[in-house]
Amino acid sequence: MVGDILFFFLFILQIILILFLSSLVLPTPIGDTGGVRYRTIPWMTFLLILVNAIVFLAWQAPNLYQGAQAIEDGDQRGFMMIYQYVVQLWTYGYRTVFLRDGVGIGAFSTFTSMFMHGDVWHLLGNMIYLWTFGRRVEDACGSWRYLAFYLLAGMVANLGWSVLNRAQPDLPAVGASGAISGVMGAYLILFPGALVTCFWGIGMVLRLPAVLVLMVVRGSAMRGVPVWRWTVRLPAFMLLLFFLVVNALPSFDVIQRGQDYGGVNTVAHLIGFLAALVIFLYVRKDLLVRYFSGRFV
Amino acid sequence: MDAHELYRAGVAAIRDRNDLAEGRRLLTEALRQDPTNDAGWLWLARTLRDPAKQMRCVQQALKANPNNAQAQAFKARLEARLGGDRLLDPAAPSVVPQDAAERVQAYLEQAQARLRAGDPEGALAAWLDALSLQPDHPMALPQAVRYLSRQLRWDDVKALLQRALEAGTTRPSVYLTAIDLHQRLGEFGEADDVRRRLARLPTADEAIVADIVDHFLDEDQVHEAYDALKAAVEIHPKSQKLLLRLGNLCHEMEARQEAAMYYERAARLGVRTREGREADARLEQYAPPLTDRERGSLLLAWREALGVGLLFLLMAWQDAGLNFYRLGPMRWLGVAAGLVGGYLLVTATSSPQQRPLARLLGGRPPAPADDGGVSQLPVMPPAARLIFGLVGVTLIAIAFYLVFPTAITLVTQPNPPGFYIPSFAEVFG
Repeated sequence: MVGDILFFFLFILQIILILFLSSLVLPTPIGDTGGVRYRTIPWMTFLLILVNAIVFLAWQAPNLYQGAQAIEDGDQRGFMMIYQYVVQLWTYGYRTVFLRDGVGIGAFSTFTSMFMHGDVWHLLGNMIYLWTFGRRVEDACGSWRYLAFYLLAGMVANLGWSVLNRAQPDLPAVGASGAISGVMGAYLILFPGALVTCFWGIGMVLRLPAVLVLMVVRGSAMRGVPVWRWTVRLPAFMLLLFFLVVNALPSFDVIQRGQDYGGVNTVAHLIGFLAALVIFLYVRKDLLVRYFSGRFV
Repeated sequence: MDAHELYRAGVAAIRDRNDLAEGRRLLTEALRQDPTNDAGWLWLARTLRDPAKQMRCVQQALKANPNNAQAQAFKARLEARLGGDRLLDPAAPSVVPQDAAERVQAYLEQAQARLRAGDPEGALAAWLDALSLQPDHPMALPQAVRYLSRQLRWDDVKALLQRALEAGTTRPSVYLTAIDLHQRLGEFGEADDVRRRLARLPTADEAIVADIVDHFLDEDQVHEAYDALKAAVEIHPKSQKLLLRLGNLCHEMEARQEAAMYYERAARLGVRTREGREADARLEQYAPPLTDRERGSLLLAWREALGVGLLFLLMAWQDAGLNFYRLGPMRWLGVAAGLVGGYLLVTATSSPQQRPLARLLGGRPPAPADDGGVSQLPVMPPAARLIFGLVGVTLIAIAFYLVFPTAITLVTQPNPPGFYIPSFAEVFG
């Protein structure tokens, strides 16, 4: 029992440490500066995070992590548990063969795959992005329209992967990243000027001389601005366009030459992002009118 | 009246009624009859603002009685002031050169010494010397004003404050004192001028601006209050309190669009504060900020339905093996059911004022309390909305069934066709 608790504690510590180290190089968004305007609780975003977490932690993770631990302890049953995890991926992941040949769970896989993840990093990364960008998009749409948009973006991402992927056509795709890319694209369209709070080591270091110079140049106008901050605020358009470029470049390779990029589904990210163009079908009527009259919050 | 009666009446007007103009008139008449009244010349000097004129009065007093100690002290002060004025730099009241700062400090110490020696007039002279170098000095000005006020020498107080204001002081306390003085002297127009200037002052905090606005509103000067708030908001664009106040004022002035704009700006700054929450709640009265044309628009309602229809079309396409030609009539019917179901649901929940549907169903315009009284369009009756909602949900459920026939068959049949899954050996080599 004590050993289990210690294992869990070390596991969480490892996650925090790796997240911290990775955020030194690449910005990790943790929140945006705009408060949720019309709702105090973005419950659909919470619900989506909860469902994703439950599906992975309660259904997939036991096979994956207990199996790995069992193998490490020399227990041969661990292989069978890992195999069960693989079967889950191949049965409920998104595969073109399900659609074209009418086998497995057919088109239902478009929904099941959206709530499955490869490992805990995959889940954590996706949920951080969903938390950061989802709340305000939900606020702009209303919870149910937001859910419809989320599902549509995920579906479009899956379709993009299915139709354009030439690398490994029958490999199962899992993860919420396609849908979340759609949410990020919608955020870019709706709130391009918003400031996103990020952990970013390089940014924090670069900010320091910039603030010092501004303090000298602008004097009292910079009064109250802290010299050092543990987070940096980046314009949403900068962060999201960076995400778009990072996913677009390898996607062209996947589409044209069939290159594989280490299991990262960049095509789904790119297509999901582009699915955000239909966000105007889902934004609340009053906010749509405000958006086009230039008074969008 | 003879000269003595005129003198007594003039002093009474100044001391008891604070009527400087009447006192000046009576004393001038008294001194015309009896120019040897040295005390009369000194009282007359106190009713004047111009130090040069005051000096002429004091010289007359000393001419009548060269031993008048009060006149001698008064003369010394005036000489210091007239000399000090030449040192005054109105452009930079608070930025004093180093040597001047040292001199100001020396004057202040001198004033303290005079006070300890029981010579308040001497202290006043020292304060005035300090103020001649820095007209809004935070210690010298209040002490001089306090002393002169106790002596009811209002013109002197006014002159000191005026000089600080003209020098462009940024200390709100100087403005507030000037406002008090003008109010006390019945100069309400001048007091309002100072209020307007104070509202535009970057150093004036929210509470001061609120007081100014309250005053203008108490006086039914709504537009003055609006101007003061608007100026303050330009200087403090991130003050939720001021933005909310301005929004409320615009609301009272029935400038709804402008009110909504200020509420929105306040709410944008965050809804964690009391003002932010209130602005957000007020904004709800204006939201949706739609015209009746937009409320009644069929197009805007069908837009949302199109979103639902698109979702079902993608589902149908996948179920048909990514081939549109294989969609078949049932899946198309499912897409259409999704579209219509979506429209009914949208109509029931967020677009109940569509023209001419709401009127056909016997709807009535909303009560003013419900939406701020801005809409004249009828709203669908609740029963009709309930029916629309139920039918909409049912159609969406049917649409789901119709667009997914293959997938539903696959998951419900006992022996689904097999598909490739890597074997245990393939996974572990």
